[in-house]
This record gives sequence, structure tokens and C-alpha cells, in this order.
Amino acid sequence: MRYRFRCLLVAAVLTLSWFGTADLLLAKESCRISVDTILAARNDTVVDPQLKRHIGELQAMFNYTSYRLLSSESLNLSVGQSGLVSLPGDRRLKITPQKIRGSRADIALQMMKQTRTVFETQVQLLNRGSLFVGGPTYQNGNLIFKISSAY
Amino acid sequence: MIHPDADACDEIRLYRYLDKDLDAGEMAQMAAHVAGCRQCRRQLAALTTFSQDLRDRVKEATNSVDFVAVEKQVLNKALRQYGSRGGLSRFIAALKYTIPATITAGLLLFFAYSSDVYKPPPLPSAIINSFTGSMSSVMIFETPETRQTILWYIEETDVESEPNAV
Amino acid sequence: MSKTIHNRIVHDEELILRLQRGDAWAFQLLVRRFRKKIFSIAFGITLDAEESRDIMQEVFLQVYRTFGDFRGDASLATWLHRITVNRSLNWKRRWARRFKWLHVSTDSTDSRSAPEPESDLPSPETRMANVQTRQRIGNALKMLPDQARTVFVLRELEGLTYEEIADVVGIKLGTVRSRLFHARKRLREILQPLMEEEEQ
Repeated sequence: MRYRFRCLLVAAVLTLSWFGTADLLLAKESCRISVDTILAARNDTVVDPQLKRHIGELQAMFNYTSYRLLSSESLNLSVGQSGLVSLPGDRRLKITPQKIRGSRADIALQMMKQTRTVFETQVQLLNRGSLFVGGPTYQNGNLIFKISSAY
Repeated sequence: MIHPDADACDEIRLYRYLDKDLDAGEMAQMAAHVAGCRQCRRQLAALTTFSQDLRDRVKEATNSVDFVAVEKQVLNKALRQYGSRGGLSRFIAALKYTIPATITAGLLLFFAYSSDVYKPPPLPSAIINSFTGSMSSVMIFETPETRQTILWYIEETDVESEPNAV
Repeated sequence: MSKTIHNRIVHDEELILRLQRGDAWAFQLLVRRFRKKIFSIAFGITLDAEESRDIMQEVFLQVYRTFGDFRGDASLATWLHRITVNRSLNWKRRWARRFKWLHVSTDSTDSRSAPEPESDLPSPETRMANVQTRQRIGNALKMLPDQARTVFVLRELEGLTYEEIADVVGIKLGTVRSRLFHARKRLREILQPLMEEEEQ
């Protein structure tokens, strides 16, 4: 009886430790990347109802008075696979997950405007975390791209 | 002979000649020199062309601005923010917001402190390993508490390809 | 010409009196009269249309707020130019205005501490008429120190005299001459390779 109990205990500990470390030991194959395009401006005080959930976060970070969600796109991308998101003002964002391990995904981002590459960056994005990329002027405001990953 | 009198090439006087910041005699002297000096003529031409290009560039940017909208915004802001000069009414109006704001801030601080004591600091939402590109400027921020990463950039001004930009 | 200037001075004086009385119409007239001038000075210094638009708004709001401080020892235009130059020179600090905080910054805009290399000038094959001109102006002006660029912009864009520039920037006449000389000398050095390319 005592032996059986010990076996069960060892099995339980192993199972729990496996669940705890599986994320670290096994590299994930794909992740879901979402890109929300927000137009932030100071010429009015309109807050897009679709951004209600995020407005606190945005207002805590930026000094604009209005926020409008222009588009929202999600891509399921495997490691090494590239996805393209169309953005306002003839811009495109190329996203390529390069490695997913533990709590972070290594992602390559390439921002293009017309045929020109504006910037290229490599980021380690936290699982369920976001990178805010902003700055381009658009319709009397600035564009903010919220790039999030989940896997 | 392209450059007749190298000793007479005086950059300081040349620029003052460009600005007509010389007396009549000096102006005539420089005019005679410039007429015979290819190097000085080229310098003047390059700077004059550059200045004209700059003026055209500014004109182009100016034409893209909706000044009527700007005027409206300025007038609205000026009258709204500074229009009412009544000190007491302003003070009372301010109190209307200040008191609830102070109470809210106090409560927030209390809850933030009590919950933060037990929470480990969060990880940065994104770590930027490399960044290359051609733009006017770029800044990378991280919020102090929530550690949200923000990458903010200003594109190189390109009015033609960005009709909506102001 | 002198009649125009005379009328203009009279009109400015009337405008000042009305502004001091808090006349909203006078403020509107002031905005309408100086908006393009202010924008172009701001743009010449910052080379950023969006920032210049904001600077222009802030200049007018500052004027509205502080018109009581206007003593009349300088002309209305000089006073407005002075505010615009100060606001424009502080534009880099304005970055912070966009954010609630400023934690880490990697600012590559400070031309004084990190001048852009000359290799950044457009290569001959990519030099398409307008784009080339725009880049050339931008790159060359960005390479000038802020103070020299300001003096150059006031001279070349606004056509101010050396005395007027000294008054606006708050420097001596000799300093205006010296800054203008250094600005042009630097520009000549920057433009030289392009001039040689064009000649070939």
C-alpha cells in the first residue's frame, strides 16, 4: 500500500513537472499574431467603441484625445512563414516568426511603404504581450500598430 | 584661365555680397571678381539654388496644410482654455474635478501599493534585438511599471506619397 | 513700398491695441496674417510638417495667453518670430509630449552629437528630380547645428536682415554674421560632391 502510494506520488510529481517545463523544453511550431491599427489624434475626443477594452491602456501610454480602430487583422503563422498585413497609407507589415520558445517569440518585422522598406526589426515578443509601433502621420493624426502574439 | 585671382576669393565677403551686406564700392568690387571667377560663381549658384529649393520645399509643405482647420482649432482652444478670465469661477470649476480626482488617485495608490507588494515586477512586453531603417528619427520606450514596449518613429517627409499627412 | 510698410505698421499697432483689449476678432486676424509665416519658419527648422503644425498652434495659443506681456519694444512680427524660433528649437523635447512618460530613448535626430555621414546623401542612380531635391535639402539642413540652421532659415526663407535676425534670436550682429557664414560654408562642403557629380 505504502509502495503504491509512493509510485503514485512520483508519477504525480513527474506529470506536474512535465506540464511545468513542457513549454520550455518543446519549441512551439506556430503562433497567432494580431495587428490592430489605431488612428490616434488630438483634434477631437472620439474613442472608438471597439477600443473600449484597450482605452485605459492607450490613455495610460499616449497623450492623444481620440483613438479610432482602423483595422484588425490576425494571422496564424508557422515558424519561418511570413505573413503580410496591409496598413493605411500604402504601408505593409511583413511578419515572420523565427523561433518560439518559453514565454517569448522571436519575430522579424519589416515595415514597407510603397516599394521602400522603412525599417526592419527583430523583437522578442512576450506570449500574450504586445509591441506598440507608432508614428506615421495619417489624416491629421498618428498611426499606432499594436502587434500582439499568442501561442 | 578659370580662376584669375585666387587671392581675391574671400568667402566671408562672398556671402556678404550674396546678402548685399557690403557698401556700394565693395559690392562693385565683388561683382567684378565674381564675373571673372568661376569658383566663386559656382559657389554662389550652388547656394542660390539650394535656397530656392528650400523655399520650394517649404512652399510645398505649406500648401499641404489646411490652415482654415488650424485656425478653427486655435480659436476654439484659445477661447475654451483661456477665454474665461473669472478667477473664482475657475477655481470652483477646478475643485469640481480636483476633489474626486484626488480621492480616486488616493484609492488607486492604496490598491496599487497593496497589490504591488506581493507581485513580482512584470517582464518587458517586447525586447528589441535589432533595428535598421531609414527614417527621420526613432525612439524606443518602455513604460516604467507595466513595461509595455513602444517603438515610435518619424518617417522621412514624403509629401507626395502621403497626401493625408500634415 | 514704403506706403505698404507704413500701412502695415499702423495696422499692426491697431491689432496690438485690439488684442490687448481681448478682442477675439483681432486674434483671428493675427492668426490669419501670420500662420503661413510661422509654419514656414517652424518647418525650416524642424523639417517636420506635423511638428510644425503643432508648433504653429502652440505659438498662437502662447500669444493669446501672454499678450499682456507684449511691451512693444519689438515689432509684432519679431515677437512672433522669436516665440516660433524658441518653440521650434525645443521641438525635440516635444517627443515627450506624446507620451505619458519617458523611460528609454534612442534618439537619432540630434545632428550636433551625431552628424549624419555624407554617404547618406542620395546616390546618383536614385536621384529622381523631386525626391532627390527633397532629400538633399533635408540631409544638408539636418547636418547644420540648430543655431546655424535657424539663422540660415530666417535669412533665406523670411529674408530678414542681419539686424532683424539678431533681434529675433537674441544674439549680437557679429554672431549672426558668423553663424550665417558657418552655415553656408558647411552647406558648400555638403553640396560640393553633388555639384561635382552634376558637372561630370
